[in-house]
Amino acid sequence: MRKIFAILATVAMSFSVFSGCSGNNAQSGTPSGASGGGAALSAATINYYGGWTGADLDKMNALVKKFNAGQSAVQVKFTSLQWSQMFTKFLADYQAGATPDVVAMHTFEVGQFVDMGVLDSDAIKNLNLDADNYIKTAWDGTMMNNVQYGVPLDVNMHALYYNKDLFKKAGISNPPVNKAELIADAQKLTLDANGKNASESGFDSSNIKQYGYGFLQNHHGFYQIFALMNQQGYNPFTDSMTSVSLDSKKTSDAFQFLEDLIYKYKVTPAGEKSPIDDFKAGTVAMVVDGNWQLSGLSSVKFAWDTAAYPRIFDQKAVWGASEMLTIPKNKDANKVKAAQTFIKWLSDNSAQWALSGQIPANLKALKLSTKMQGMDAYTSELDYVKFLPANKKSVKVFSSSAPSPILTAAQNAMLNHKNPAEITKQLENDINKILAG
Amino acid sequence: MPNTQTNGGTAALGLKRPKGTKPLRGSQGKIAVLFLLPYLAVFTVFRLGPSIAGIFISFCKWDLAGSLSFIGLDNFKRMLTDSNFHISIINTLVFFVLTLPPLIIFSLLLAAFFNMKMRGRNVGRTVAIIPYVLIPAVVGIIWNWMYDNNFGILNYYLKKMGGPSVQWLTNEHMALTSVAIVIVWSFLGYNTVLFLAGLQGISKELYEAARIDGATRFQTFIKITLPLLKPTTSMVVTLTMVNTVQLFDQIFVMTNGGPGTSTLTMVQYLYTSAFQNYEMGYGSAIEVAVLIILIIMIFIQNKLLKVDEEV
Amino acid sequence: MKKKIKPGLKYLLLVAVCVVFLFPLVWAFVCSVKPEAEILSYPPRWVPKTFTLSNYTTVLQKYPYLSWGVNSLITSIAGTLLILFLASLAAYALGRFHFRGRNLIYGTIVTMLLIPIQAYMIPLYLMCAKVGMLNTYGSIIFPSAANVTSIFILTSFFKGLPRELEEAARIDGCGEFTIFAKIMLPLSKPALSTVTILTFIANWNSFLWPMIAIRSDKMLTLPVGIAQFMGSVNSNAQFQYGTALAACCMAIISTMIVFLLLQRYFVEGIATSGIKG
Repeated sequence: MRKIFAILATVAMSFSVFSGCSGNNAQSGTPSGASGGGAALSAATINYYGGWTGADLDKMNALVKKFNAGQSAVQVKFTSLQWSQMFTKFLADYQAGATPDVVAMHTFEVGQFVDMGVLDSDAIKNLNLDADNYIKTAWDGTMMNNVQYGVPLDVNMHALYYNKDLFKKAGISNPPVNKAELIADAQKLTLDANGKNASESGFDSSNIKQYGYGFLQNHHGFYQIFALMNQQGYNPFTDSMTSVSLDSKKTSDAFQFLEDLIYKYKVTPAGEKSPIDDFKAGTVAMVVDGNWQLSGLSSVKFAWDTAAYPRIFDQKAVWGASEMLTIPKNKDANKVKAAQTFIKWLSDNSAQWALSGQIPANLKALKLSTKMQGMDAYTSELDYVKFLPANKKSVKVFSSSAPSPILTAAQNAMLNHKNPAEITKQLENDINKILAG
Repeated sequence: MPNTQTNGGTAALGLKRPKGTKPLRGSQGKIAVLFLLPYLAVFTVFRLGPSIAGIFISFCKWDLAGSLSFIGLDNFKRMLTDSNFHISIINTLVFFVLTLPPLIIFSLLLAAFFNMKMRGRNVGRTVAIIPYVLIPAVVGIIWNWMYDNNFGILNYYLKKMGGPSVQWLTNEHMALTSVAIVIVWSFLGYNTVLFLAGLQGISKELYEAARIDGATRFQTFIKITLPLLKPTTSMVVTLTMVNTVQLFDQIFVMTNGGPGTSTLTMVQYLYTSAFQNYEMGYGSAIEVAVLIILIIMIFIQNKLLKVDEEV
Repeated sequence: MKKKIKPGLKYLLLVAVCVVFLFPLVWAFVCSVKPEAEILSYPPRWVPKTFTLSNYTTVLQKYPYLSWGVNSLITSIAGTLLILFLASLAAYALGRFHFRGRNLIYGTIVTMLLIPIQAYMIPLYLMCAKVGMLNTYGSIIFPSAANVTSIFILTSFFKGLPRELEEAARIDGCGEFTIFAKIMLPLSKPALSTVTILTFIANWNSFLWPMIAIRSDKMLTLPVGIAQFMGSVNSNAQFQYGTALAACCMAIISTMIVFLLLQRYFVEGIATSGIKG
């Protein structure tokens, strides 16, 4: 028995160390092709890291495949993991001297990586891109201290999805555009088991069958707070901030509004896990969600459309974010050239990226892209979409996983119904602790 | 095979030399090296070395991309005033207190049950251990689905029975308990099997003798079974303790530390600090804290269960 | 004299136990064969209105699910065989030989139980990167062979085996290695079976380290691949319950197949009067 043991173990060991099937190459970052001299780009395989999942991942895979198939000078190996896991891998590889050649990220994350000194701004500069060819907010988002660190890929933001059939049933013809309309419509659309709506007497709030308004109550809940603050003309967050002082009234009013929707007007379910799923199931008449949900609505059986995010306060503003492509500092000039080639191609061909509901930041591609149903509301918001800053501590401050000041604040408001002034004070303290640390 | 051990099953799991035997004279160092070397080589390279390096990092500041800079005890000083860290300690201990009693008591009872003669008990044993063998991410996804506020099956049955619908994973007072329930469900079978092994190591003659003496089932359990089971119990408690305090995968998949910070355990906070905030040094310091807490807990547990261990 | 528990009650309890443990899995399976819209409908139904395998085909077509399974299988088997080989030798020495530093070595090894993968995975990663080991089966197998629980279990077991066997064999002129191989090892079937199944499951379910060590999608192990279905709190895409549950059910089935094959040895191990000689 011992002998069989030993043989099996030895076989297993040798098999494992020397095998690894496909995918086991490009460890140390040396080009697999010839490294011949000359001005022309020699054949190179580059590594591209992204953080997409689901339908987005499919589209990006398709784009990479198309690029690889269309020419042989540059071959791209695309790895996609969840964003934070991908970044960990990126940094670990960077430390080990085998950095990926192209890394996707969001604009609010770029500050952190610039501060770590891992991004190459010259490589971006040498692309000689035309600022006029890109959506302005996205373009600005790639800048840190007036130096550009990446190429904008797309823009995402919130808007309002609404169920036209349910609207018709409730006798509402148009989606709400301001606070008064929002509350009135949402109440008419919130029905209890007896068919009474939330504005009628005798409404049974413990037996609600259909809600009028839904939204995520995690970090996206805070994104709405951010939008609502901007709607009051107020944005205390900057790229270079080292401390923040939150206007108590304006910030509290923002929190209060969302809390009221849940606890006062009872038109929003507390702790809603997946508004878009509720919307698809027909149990919520309106939801606030992003354009990335558009591609998943094709199977929906009722009539629906999108509308601009309602203007609750004085100005129009809505939260948005942008994804961008960066080039980490790389000792291999050949790979940098290859990365530049790929990024340029991706940007120019990002019309296909729009098929998953994205809005390409490249204006030419945007023009060429097929408009998905519901996209108009989003593109109409481009003029007043607001991004979170690319502060070097943005990732920590605006983190979507615990412990996170914005997550705690949003959940204290929407799940725990705490006093908005207290929430504001705690948020300010938590953020300043991070900015100071 | 003649069995001259007089202390039943204890020797099997304890480390004490059985009575009446002499220690082997002379060092067996040379042959020991041959036996030990293969494992120790792999162990040192792939576990011990990196662990020591990991502890060293706790005295440094490092963002993974750049180089390490030695900062002495600064990370530990920071832990003293970091409220998130304090919350994580409390969460870890609460989670432990929520999971340990059911995981010991219920599994012991279940093991005693499976120890009885009945048809189909093999099936029962196999079924009990199925949750343990499942991939944690799978467990997380399935329970996440069952815990869904609106469409989850648990709330459906609760409402049907006239109860309120519970916000299992979205209410910060409930979330940790909800995760604890999942962990108890997952590990119950594993502990049961370990207890079963211990129970079956107890000589049947002892039970016969007790029966002849007229002892009740209960008395037998308390006076014979439990004491003889001490080494097994001690091992199960230690393993459960270590597993619970170090639990990561399921929480990561189900709640990721939220809502708020209600499921932010120390290991969860370690991961966030190291791999989302890129504060490798601070994350390592948190790990040292976990290590210290575990050592204290094991020390206390040994004192309480008074198992003779030749350390 | 003694009250016997009615057999009927015993079976009732047995069924109740099975229900508690299997309920979530059965429910997951029922949901996985419903179309997404029906999954998210209320009230939930145990019998699907529409039976569909589309969730399963989506998973198999869009993701290299089978590759993940094969990767898990290879790394888990190789890792388990390796640790059985290494740990039985080492635990025997720690449990039965006397030599200087034995307690120190054993203590150090067991202390490592208290240091989880998160604490050492970055240094481990950097080391693997430097020797070019990343993204290979080796990067998963070798760290998994530094398993401590198996040493813990086997050392206790070997320690408890009676001295008389050894002494008798020594009188007969057997060398230590022969004693180990011909006498002690055959006696350890139960403990070895336990270790086999425990380490195999630990390897199969290992998540965090493979996620870091593997770069390409095709080389992922099953747990890491499935975690993708959970979506991410960072990313914006919500996950589809249908496909996520289908991926889970296939994982459960593959875990079950492997487990049921090995479970015989495990149960046998317990049944043959366990640890005692």
